Amino acid sequence: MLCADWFLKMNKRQNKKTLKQRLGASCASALFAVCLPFRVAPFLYILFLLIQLLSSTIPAVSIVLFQQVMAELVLVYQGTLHTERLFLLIGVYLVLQALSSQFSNLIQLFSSLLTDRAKRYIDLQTMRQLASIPMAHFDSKTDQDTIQVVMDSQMMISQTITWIVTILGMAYTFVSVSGVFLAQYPWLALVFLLTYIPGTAASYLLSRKLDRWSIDSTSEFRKKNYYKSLLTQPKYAKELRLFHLEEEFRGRYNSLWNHLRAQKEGIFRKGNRRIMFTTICSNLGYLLVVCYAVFQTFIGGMDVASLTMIIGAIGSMSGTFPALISNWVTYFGIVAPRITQYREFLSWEKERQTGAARFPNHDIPEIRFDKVWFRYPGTDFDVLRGVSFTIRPGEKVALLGINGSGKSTILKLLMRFYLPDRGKITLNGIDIREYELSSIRRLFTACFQEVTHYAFDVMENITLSDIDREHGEERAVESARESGIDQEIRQWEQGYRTPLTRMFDKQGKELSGGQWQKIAIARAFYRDAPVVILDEPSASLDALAEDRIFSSFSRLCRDRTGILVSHRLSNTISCNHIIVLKDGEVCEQGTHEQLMCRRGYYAYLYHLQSERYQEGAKTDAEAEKV
Amino acid sequence: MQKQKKYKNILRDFIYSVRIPFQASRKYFLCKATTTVILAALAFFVLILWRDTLNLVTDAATGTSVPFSKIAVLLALYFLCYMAQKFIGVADELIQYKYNDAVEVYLDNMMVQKISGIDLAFFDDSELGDQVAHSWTILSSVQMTAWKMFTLLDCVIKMATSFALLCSLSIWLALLVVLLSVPALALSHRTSRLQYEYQMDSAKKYRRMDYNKELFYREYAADMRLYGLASKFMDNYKELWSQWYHNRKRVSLKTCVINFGSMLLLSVGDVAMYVDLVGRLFKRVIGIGDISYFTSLLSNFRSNVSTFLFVMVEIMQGFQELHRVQELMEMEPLMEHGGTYPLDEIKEICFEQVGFTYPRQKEPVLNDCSFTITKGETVGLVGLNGAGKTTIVKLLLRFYDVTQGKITINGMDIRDYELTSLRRAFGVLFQDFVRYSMTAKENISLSDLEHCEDIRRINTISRQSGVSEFALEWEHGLDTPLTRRFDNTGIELSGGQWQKISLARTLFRSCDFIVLDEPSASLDPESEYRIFEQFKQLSEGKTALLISHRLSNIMLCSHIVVLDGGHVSQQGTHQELMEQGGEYASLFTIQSRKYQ
Repeated sequence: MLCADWFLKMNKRQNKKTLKQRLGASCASALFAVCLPFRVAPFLYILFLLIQLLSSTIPAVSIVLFQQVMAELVLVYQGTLHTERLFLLIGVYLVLQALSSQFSNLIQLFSSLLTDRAKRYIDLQTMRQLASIPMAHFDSKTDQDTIQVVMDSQMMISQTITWIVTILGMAYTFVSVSGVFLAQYPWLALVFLLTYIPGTAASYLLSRKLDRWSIDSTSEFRKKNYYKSLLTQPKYAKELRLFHLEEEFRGRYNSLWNHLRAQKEGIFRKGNRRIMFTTICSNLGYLLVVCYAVFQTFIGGMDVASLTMIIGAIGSMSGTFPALISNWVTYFGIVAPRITQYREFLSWEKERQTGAARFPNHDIPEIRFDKVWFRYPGTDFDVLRGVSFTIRPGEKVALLGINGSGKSTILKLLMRFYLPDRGKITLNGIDIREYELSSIRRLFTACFQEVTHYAFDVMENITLSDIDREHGEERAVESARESGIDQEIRQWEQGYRTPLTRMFDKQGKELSGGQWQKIAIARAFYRDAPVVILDEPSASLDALAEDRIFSSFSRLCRDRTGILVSHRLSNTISCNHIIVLKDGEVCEQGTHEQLMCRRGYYAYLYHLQSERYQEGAKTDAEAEKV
Repeated sequence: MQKQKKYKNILRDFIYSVRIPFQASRKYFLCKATTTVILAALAFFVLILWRDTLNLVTDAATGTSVPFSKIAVLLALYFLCYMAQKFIGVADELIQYKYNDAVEVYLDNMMVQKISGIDLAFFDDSELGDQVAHSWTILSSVQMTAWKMFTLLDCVIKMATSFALLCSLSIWLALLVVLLSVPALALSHRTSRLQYEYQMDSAKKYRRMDYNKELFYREYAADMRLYGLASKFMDNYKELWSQWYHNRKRVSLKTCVINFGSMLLLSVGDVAMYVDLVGRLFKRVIGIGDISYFTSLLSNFRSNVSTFLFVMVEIMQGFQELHRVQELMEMEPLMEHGGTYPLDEIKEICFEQVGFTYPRQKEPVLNDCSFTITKGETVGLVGLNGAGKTTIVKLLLRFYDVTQGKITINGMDIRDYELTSLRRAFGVLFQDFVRYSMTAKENISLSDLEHCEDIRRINTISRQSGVSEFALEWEHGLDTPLTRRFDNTGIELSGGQWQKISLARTLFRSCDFIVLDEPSASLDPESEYRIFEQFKQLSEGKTALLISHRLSNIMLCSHIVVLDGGHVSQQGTHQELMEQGGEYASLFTIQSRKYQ
């Protein structure tokens, strides 16, 4: 559905573009949509276009035919009966009507099939693009919004294809019927077109202004929705009740609602009068034509058949035209911007494969950061300022520093999600840029703070860290044993086939934070990569769970390089290379003993944490003495 | 019996659907009903007037003399009816906009009021929680369903009138037309059933298919690149799609064929009618105008029948969702809110053999749990994850009621206290505290709205909690909006800064009992240290309950309660527990030994 926040931003961006630019973009988007099915299902599409064309021609043909039928019927009325000709004409006319409805039946079928196939194509295209764009897009807020919109619009875009063809069909019908009218009574037709079209267009556009979307994008509307979510969403529920905020928020919610409605009232009132006026204008034309035609027929200047033709023609036109405008406005205002966004999204550059060197299998790299500077694209301050350190193969490294000091950034640079602005990163002496991308990525296993939950079964949740390995079930079980979750899994009813999360299965298991951490460690064991990264796992773990996770991590790192990011200095103590970051620079590095001797920042942090523990343990020892 | 019940249900749903727009705004309801009826009637007047005009004009054209005045009158009436139709049509649309709004406001309010007042239990229980979450998305379809009632009314009026007018031509013909529509009806019903069953089946498959697409989102982006998962998920998607599409194609083709058949049948009716009409025209029983009149009536009847069917199907589907809303509206609170005693001062809280199981769960979280908190103590709650610590807080705040045993405050059962005054006595910092998109001042003062204008108090608290350290540097100080949701000049705070804001919020409430649940979970060592130093100061003179996994912080408490599997296994001071050498001692040692 419409994402109101996006719509506000979209409107802001739109208003900056000129009308000409927007029209251009809309046409380009339309072209894109119309040409897309050729890549997906060309034969089906051509058939569809053909049937649409035929179907759109029928109204005009029917009107002409009916004119002939009427002429015959008048003769019948007057007493002459040319049975053959009459029934032939009526027969053809009825066949045309039947064909028309069958055509729309077929059109519906083809539309649905084409839409499905188009959606598949668009979905896959989107997925491919999402997998190949650099991580920077996921970290930028504007790009995230664009991605969100693209994901939300997929259905709409796939439906646009057949929709545009339908609109073109309507336009064709309108033009052909007008043609029939113009051919026989040009002046009358012109009078009608000139009064009816502007009036109807104006009337329609005015009433669209009253449409909610102009209100939807205001910040007041968003605020109202915010209060609505504060009052109803689970994550706010506790505080709402604890602080007794219901009345206050409900009051604010109601007053915002009332204010919005008053605003709408205002717009309505202004629009009302104008709409009434344009309605009169457009319909006046209609009635003038009718009166004139009737009068002419009355005095004998026109025959009855032509009268019915005119009525039929203006009837058809006055039905098609508003639909045309309405569809066009919807397209221009809502659908085209989304397609434009989608095309923009598709044009984002993919991650560049800069190198071709492959990293040798089973080799543990020596990692070196050499005066690395980095800032996130679109920001104006450097997160890393000349960071330098070396990680020797097999070392256990701890990265310490307050939030925002650059720890996760270093990890991202390591995994080549970004490239440094200045300085260089080398693996075994060779610049990271010279390596093939997938070769580098294969070196790392990462257990992030937020473990990714996949709504698959346990086995898949573990084995996806190395999908190329065949027959990995045994190894997966072994990995689970190493991380300490194997016993638990065996106790579940479906064991390793237990679906995780309740997304697709009501019987699925929802794991706790600690259990997910163990799954993450199991993934790391399974993958068997030379460098293991563990990022701040112990936030919500109890003492026992924390202890177990870290001992599995130690085992995991036995013959590998381990990089640990944590605030708990008790866990980093056992690392043989501690790197302390402050303000984007390495302020200290060394072993625990070396850093304690320095009595610097690390020693200070260590004292903060250990002080009380040592006190607590001391009192115990003292008590023992007594 | 089943069918009877089914029809009864349908009737009940119908009534509910009509009740909603009626209660939303009676004025608009009547307006809308009136305009619907008038417009339907006008449509037929226009047809009749045109018929008569055409008849007269044909007569004039074929030689019979017809006075002009007659035609003029007819034309004038036609003119009037047509314009009236257009005007009322426009008015109808305008009423529709406003009415739509009114219904939306009504439904919105109804839901908001219900949900903001229900017990917390409904949110925690995932099945019910789903229902609540779902109700929002259903609301707009409920709105549409209410709306379609009017379309239904319009269809029924037009169908009945067309039929009646057709009868004036020939009852047999009218009956024939109706009869031919019956198979069309049946067939159409069949296709909608097909579609519906298919929807149910395929919805799950579709969701699974779509899920693979979601895995390309941000949260999975790092994994995807590291593990090269893109092709795997795309393959999953493709496979699921083929299965899904296969079924869909089958159903679509079936629908197409069925529609083909029913349209053919309808065409037979067309032929019959034309033959009859031509015969009568020849005998001059009817005029040319009647030809277009009756054919219009026929097509009118048909299109209304098909609209009727279509709308009925949609309404039926809408009823399903209506049920869920109804169920939500009828949800009874699980707890009794009958207590009337005001709570002034907490002198003592006793948990007496408390047992508790979350609704719809099998395993009890608390089991024979007993301990006492006396005024002025700082109590530390310790235990492994799942031992029941947060549950104790929820029970204390009466978000749930105990299933066994009881909780007493100052000797009286917690249920006897007035709920609002009970909750008012506690200041709580939850682990998942809320970050409100409002000003810093509001974020702090929300816990005690009565005193939200007390600037001195706000400043004191912001100093104590450490907020003023960063807030003073801001241009608008504490009036700065937080988060950029509504204001581009708003400030995005870091995790540590938010923690300080929410600590301020907790302290702002002038109460004697503070609860801190894992207040330093993701803070760096310095911030963590500072918060606990402050905690010592701030909890002087008050009673406090602290939950933390960091036992170095729990040490500060004067009374530590150790929970093991929902049961109090040990209690005492840090020294006492270390001497006892039980679970607490072993947990403490696990953490402390690493610092040696």
